[in-house]
This record gives sequence, C-alpha cells and structure tokens, in this order.
Amino acid sequence: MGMLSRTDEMILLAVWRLGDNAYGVTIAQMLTRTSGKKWVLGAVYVPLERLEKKKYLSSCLGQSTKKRGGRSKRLYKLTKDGLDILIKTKSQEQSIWANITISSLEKGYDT
Amino acid sequence: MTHKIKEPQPSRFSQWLIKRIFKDEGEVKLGDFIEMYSTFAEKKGWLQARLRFWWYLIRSIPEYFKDSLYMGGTMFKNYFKLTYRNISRNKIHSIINIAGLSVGMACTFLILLWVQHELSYEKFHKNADDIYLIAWERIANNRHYTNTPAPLALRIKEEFPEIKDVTRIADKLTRVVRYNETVIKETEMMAADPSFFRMFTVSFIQGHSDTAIADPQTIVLTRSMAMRYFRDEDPLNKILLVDRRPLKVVGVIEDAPDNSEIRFNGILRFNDLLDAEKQDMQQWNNFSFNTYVQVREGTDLLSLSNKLTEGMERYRPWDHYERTFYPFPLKKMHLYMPGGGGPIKYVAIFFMAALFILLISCINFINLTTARSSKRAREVGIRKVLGSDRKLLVKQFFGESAIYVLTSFILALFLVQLVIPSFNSIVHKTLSIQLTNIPFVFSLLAILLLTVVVSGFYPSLYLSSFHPSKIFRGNSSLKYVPLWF
Repeated sequence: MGMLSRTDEMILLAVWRLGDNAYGVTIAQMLTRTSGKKWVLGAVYVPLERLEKKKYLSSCLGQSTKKRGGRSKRLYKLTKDGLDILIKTKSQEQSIWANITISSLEKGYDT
Repeated sequence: MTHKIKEPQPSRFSQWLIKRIFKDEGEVKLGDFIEMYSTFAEKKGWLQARLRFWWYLIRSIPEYFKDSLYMGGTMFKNYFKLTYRNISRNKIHSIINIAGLSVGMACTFLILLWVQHELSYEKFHKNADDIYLIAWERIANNRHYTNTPAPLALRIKEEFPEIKDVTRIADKLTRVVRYNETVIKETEMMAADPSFFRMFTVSFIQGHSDTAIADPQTIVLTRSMAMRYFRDEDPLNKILLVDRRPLKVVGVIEDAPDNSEIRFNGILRFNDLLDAEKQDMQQWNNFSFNTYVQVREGTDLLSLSNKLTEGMERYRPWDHYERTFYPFPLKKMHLYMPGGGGPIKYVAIFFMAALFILLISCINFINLTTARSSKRAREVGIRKVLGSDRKLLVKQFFGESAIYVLTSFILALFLVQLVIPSFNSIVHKTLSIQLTNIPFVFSLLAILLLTVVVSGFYPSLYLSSFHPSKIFRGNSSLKYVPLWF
C-alpha cells in the first residue's frame, strides 16, 4: 500500500463521512464544505474511478429519484483497504504533525 | 418503464453534451448533473438556473480532463523523442523526405503569394466596393474601351442622383520636371480632380486630402518623387517647374501600392491639363481620359448603364457610332478588365498548380514513408507484443508524420525567404511573407494542417497494421489490415 495523494485522501474522507449516501453530488458538496474550495462534479469523477480501480472504494448503483431525471445514483463505499489506508494516513499525519501548532510554525523551530 | 418527469430539466443540448463527455453506464453522471440543476432551479428561477448550470458545466469539463491532458502531454513528449531518434537514425532517408516536402511546400507558398497579390488589387481602397470606371463597348466590333471625354464626369455628377462623386484621371503623362539644378523626365505623372483623394484611399505624409490640388497651379508628389528633388528639404509649398509651368507642392503622399492599377509619381490638377480654349464639341470628342464614379449604396448598375448610354447620346448628338456605356467595378479592373482578357485565367491555373504541387509532395511523402515499412515493421511488432494498442501506434505514426511536416513547413518558409528576391524579379512584383497579414497566416496554417492530415493519414494506418506473428516469422508479405476491422 502506497501513500495517498491529497485529493485521494480528501475524497476517501468525504465518502467515509457520507456513509450510505456517498455519490457524485453529495461528495462534491461535502468536499466543498470541508476543504473551503469549490469542487465541481467534473473534478470528482476521475479520482473516484481511480480509487475504485485501486480497490479503496467499491460502488453499486443506487435508487433513482425524480430530481435526477430518473437516473440512478452510483453509491460509493469504503472497502477494507480504503479504511486501512485512511487509518494509516491518519497515524502518519499525526506523527508528522506531532506537537506542532500554527503558532509554533510561525515562531520557528528552536532546539 | 415510463417515468413521468415533472421536475425541471437542463436543456437537451447540455444533456447531450454531458452524455458525450461524461460517458458511463446507466447515465449516472448525467443523473448527478440533473440533480445539480434541480438544486439550482429550486433556489432560483429556471433562467438563472440554466445560466448557472452552463457555467457549472463549463467549469466541470476541464477538471474532468485535467488528468488525461497531463497524460497526453507526456505521451507527446515521448513521440517527439521517438521521432527525433528516428530522424537521426535514418539521416539520408529523413533528409530526402523533408527536402521533398519542403521544396513542394515552398513552391506552393510562392505561387499562393503571387495569387494572393493578384487577388488583392484595389481592395485596400475603403470605397472600393462603390467605385466604378466608366467603360463602353462599340457595338459594331464588340470592342471595349475605357477612355471617355472630360466633360462627361461633370455632366453625370450634375444629372444622376445615384452618383456620389466623380473623378477624371489622365495617367502615364510625361513631364519634364525641374527644381533648381535637378531636371528629370517623369513618365508616370497623373492628373486627377481633387475628388480623387476623397474617393480613393491615399495616405498623406504632408498636406491634407481635403485641400490637395484644390487651387490652380498645384501638385501632389509621392514620397519617392519628392525625394528625387528635395532630399532633406521640406517639399511643402516649394515651387516645381513642370514643363516650364511653376506648380506649388501642396502635399506628399505614400507611393502607389503595388496592388493597384492606378500608377502615379505625382498628381497634377486635371483642370490645369485641359485646354480652356478648346470648343465644347472638341472637348466632347476627345476620348482620352478615364472617368471613375463612386455610386451611392443600392444603385442599380443596369439602369445606370442605360442612363449613361442614353445620356451620351444626348451630350453628343452628332455621334455616328453606336456605343453602350457601363460602369465597370474597380475591384475587377485588374483581374478581368473591361471586355475580358485580364490575368484571372492565369490566377486560376496557378492556384490549381499550387494545390497539385502540394498534393504531389504529400503523395511523395507517403510513398517514402511507407517504403520504409519493412524497417519499421519490427518496431511495430515489438510494440504490439509489449502490449501497445493499435490506436496508440496510429497516433504515434501520425504524430511522427506531423513532426516531419512541421519541420518541412519551417524549412519551406526559410526557402521562400531565400528565393523570394529572384522570384520577385521574374514576376515583377515585391512579394514578401507578411506575418501581420492575418488571412495569409491563416491560409499558411490551413495548408500546414491539410498537409499533416493528408500525409499522415495513410502511413499511420499502414505502418500500424502489421501483425506481430507475421513480422517475426520472417514473412515478407506484410498485409495491410483495416483499422476498423
């Protein structure tokens, strides 16, 4: 298992947060809300498909609604691998950022 | 299963576009976009929703292709490297290939430069569309003439409301011009009415087009004629002796452009030219000037022709020839000439020749490229065995041809620059490649594109068609397999 790119990490987290309701529109909205950057639908499909190919995500077709013009959703779910890599990433991140706060970053590193 | 869809929907075109771009099973992505649209429509009206949705879609598309674009760039670099290696590995072959194509392209460019110049005659005049030369046909022998008597212009300006402006021109006049010690016999002098500067586009360096040659005994010089007499002096308001008559210089203009049939060094006043002593009848019988008219918009040329013919019968009741007068368009003057016989035929012939030369060089390129197929076959075989896709190979060979063509194109431009001085002395023109001439640059690029497509199409399909097992079995007959098979 390699390392996750920043985009992949954000998308996996969004899928995790959304639970049973993770599909194109909600993922894009969740990413916009959590990252503070505007995410459009076009930007999420490619990473989603890539993560599915890497077996971090699995997907199935969900129900269709009138709002979607009768088309079904593609619901994404974290796989075991996906959850593992998120856990790994989180622990790695914590050790990288250990004891560092924004103010300590601004002050500079002293020994 | 039928869905009753009452929900607002994005436009059919945008749905079609989404389906084309975001391909997937079950139109899930289209569903996502429709849901997005519905959200917009709930908040705002449908019109705002449409606008917002388009904007959303436009932003979505580049995001979607970002990855593949990046990959495309990497692939392109790879092709470029491969092509470079191929060129340097088969130097002789590549040199012959590129030389053939670039000479062909250079020929095409030269001819097209000439054609373009021929087609550009008189187009630079702002009023070119409305200016006509009065020409006439002698019914008895079907011959066409462009010379008219001097009083004609004045009468038709008075009598015909559709005529906005007229000018009379007498050209190729020879005058001995003197200023201090400099005496030169000028052969390209022209006389015109002051309205000439209103009708035709002439750029003034000194003086003003409204007042030039308005007063008697004045003259306007071109830049090069002014240089002959005045050099560093300011020519304005100096007195030149033209055939011993003193004329005041009231303006300096740019030399007449190459692409004009109206040639002049200096412009004299037409009224100074006329012999006032001559009787009216003699004036009307002197068919030795050109009359140009500028008509108002929407003028019926046929009725103008009838009025001119009828008018001339009134002005010259003693005429015993039958003539038909008609306005001949200024823009057609060079290529067609009244009565026919202009160079339009040659322009068409040479244009065709240019296209055929280009086509033949493309065919030559295709021939040379496919002739090397036995050498490339092994490369194709290896690539296919290593898992290359046929389409990828087509792309690679196409890209390779494109790079060859591009190299030849650049070489051709250099070649044209190199031979253009001697070419100009053959065709008696001052042609040059002008990169500021937008239509010309576009036609160059169109030729480049056309050449890339024509000369890359067949070789790329042919070279990528070999079957690996046949290549390595040493089977000499390499069979072409259609791509869409």
